[in-house]
Formats: sequence, structure tokens, C-alpha cells
Amino acid sequence: MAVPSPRTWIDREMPPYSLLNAEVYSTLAWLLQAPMCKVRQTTAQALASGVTTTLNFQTEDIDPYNFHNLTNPSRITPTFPGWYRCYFSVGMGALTVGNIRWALARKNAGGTNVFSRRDSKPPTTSQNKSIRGVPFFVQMNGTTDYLEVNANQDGGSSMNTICDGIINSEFFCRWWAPL
Amino acid sequence: MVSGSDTGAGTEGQSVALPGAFTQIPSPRVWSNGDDLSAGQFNKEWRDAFLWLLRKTSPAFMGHNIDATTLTIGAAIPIKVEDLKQGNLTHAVNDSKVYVWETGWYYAMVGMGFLASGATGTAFGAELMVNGALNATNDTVRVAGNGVGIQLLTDVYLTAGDYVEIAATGSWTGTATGSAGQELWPQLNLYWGSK
Repeated sequence: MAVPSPRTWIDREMPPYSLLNAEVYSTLAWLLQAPMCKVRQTTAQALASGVTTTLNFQTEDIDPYNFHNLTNPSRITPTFPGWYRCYFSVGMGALTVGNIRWALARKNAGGTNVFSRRDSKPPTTSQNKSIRGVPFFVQMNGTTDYLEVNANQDGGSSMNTICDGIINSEFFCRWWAPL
Repeated sequence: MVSGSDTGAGTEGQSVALPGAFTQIPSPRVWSNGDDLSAGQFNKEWRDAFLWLLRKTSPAFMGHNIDATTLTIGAAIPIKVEDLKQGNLTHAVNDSKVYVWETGWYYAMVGMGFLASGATGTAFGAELMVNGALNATNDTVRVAGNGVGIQLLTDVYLTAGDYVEIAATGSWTGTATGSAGQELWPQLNLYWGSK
């Protein structure tokens, strides 16, 4: 499959079924089920205080085009060029001290190449906190560009992420438009 | 795809000029027996509709600010950088207004960021305005001494000629400043989604 490039038809063209399938069916199929990937963290991960930690995702809820690779579990590497609609969530554990938690998405691990960030704090310092559904659009080249989620906290000691089925860390991206 | 593309190549290899800009909402044809299946019809009914549905030609806008911006609650923020502008909408660089010229439901995302210093308060948020009136907001808590980013997602029905803007909102006093950094800069993404 490739990003559809609709055909320009010419007069007196009598398209065979194969061409109709290629031009009409395949485009409709793409539009009805554009490439997407959703991965989830199922193993808690330690977040050291004051350290930006790249999250790993161990479970692929859907990944028909191998955007995600379990041997390099932090990355989503879209295999088609285009604009992508994405969001991430991060489940943060309780802290007894400190109060700021933040998460962000980066493209190609660039220091300033950040596409969305959410800062938050729990209602009390002893409660878990989920940073949920932080959305963004991003342009990806379909070959080498990849996305990751980072998280940080200022509790003064290490804190684990939460993977209890209610508060989770997850990462979603779906092809949205051609470049 | 087997052959052909939006560059204008047909099966016989002729170069075919693309007819105009594909900026109108598709209106699918109801076919009848004996219809002439001309290239013009194919291109209009299939290619142009597909290009629209693929979001290659439908209205889309992505813009952001690239430098620190003074933020005032409810005041429209100029959008200085156009990351993507296509289809039947208009925006002038440094203007706050994005005008749409195709009626329909639009998928909108607003990003807003606040630097660590400056305004004091609790809730800091993002706001979408339509024709100068508040349409939707979302806010979050900022911890004193830290910057904060917030996003707002909504679907909004817009009529041809409407304009949208973004603003900062919340319950804070003093001077708030948006960041020059990607993670916190004010931004607007707007995509035509549905009739």
C-alpha cells in the first residue's frame, strides 16, 4: 500500500477492472482505514527525579504497518510520508514531595524538536496523576522520522509510571494527510 | 496505484491539464443508465473527491508563533508562521484571523503555552474564538515557577465567511508570556472534517 495519488482520467479511456480497483478501490480502502498505530505501556517504568525519561511501550494494540518495533520500544516510526494526527498519555505515580510532572512528545529525539507538552500536578502530592490525550499534528517523512514520549517529575526521588488499566501510558498516531 | 497520478498522466501517456484548484466540497453524482463516462466526469467525481477526502485539497491550516508573545486573557493572538495553508481559506501572516470559505464541521486544535515567570494564578488555558466570540476553552493548573502547556481539541461548525482565532484564558493576573519554544508556543490547527 502507498499513499494514494488519484489518477487523472483522459477521454475515451475504458478502464479495466484492475485499474478501477487500483484507482478507486485502493483509495477508498485507504480512506476507510488509514495507517495507524496505538501502543501502550504494560510494564511500569522508573522516572528519576529531574531526569527526562523516554518511555517504552510494550504492547501494540494496533500496528498493521509496523510503525512500532518491540526491539526498540520507545519509538513510533511511521512508514508512510504525510501529516499525522497523534496524542499521548502518561500515567504518573504518587509523590510525597514535589509537585510538577510533565510529559512531551519529541520528533527524532531533537532537543528542541518538541511537538506537544502538558504540565500538571495531582490534587494532592500522594495521588496518582494521569496526563491524558495530549494531541498534536506532525509531519513525518515515512522512512527515518520517529516520535517518542518523554516524562519528568520533581519529587526528589524515583517514581514509577502507572499501568493499572485505568491510568496508563499510551501513544497513538494516525496518517492524516499527504505532504 | 498501478498508473496515473495527480500530475496528469493518463493511460495513453498524454499530459492532461489539471482542471483548476480543487477547493469545493465534493457533491457525489448519482449515476444513471446511459451516462457518458467521460474523463471529465471521472476526474470530477472520483479524482477530485478523493483528493478532497485525502485532505490534499480540502481546507487546512496549521500556524504558530515563533517568538515570545505577550498574552492577555481573551485577546486574539496574531499567528506569525504558517506551517500549512491549503484549500479555500485565507490568512495573512501576522494576522490573528483565519477565514474559512467552505461551510462544514472543522476539526480544531489550539495549543497554548505560558512561561514560568510573569503572571500569577492557578488556571492557565487555551481558547478558540469564532467571529470574535468565545467558542471553547480548556485549562490546567500551573505550578508556581514552572511553565505550562495546554491543548484544546474541538469540532466546530463554521459557515463560509466565518473566522477563527486563538487566545489565552484562565484565572491569572499580571503579564503572561507565550514561549518561543516549540513545546509551548501558541498554535492553531484547523481541518475541514465534514459537511
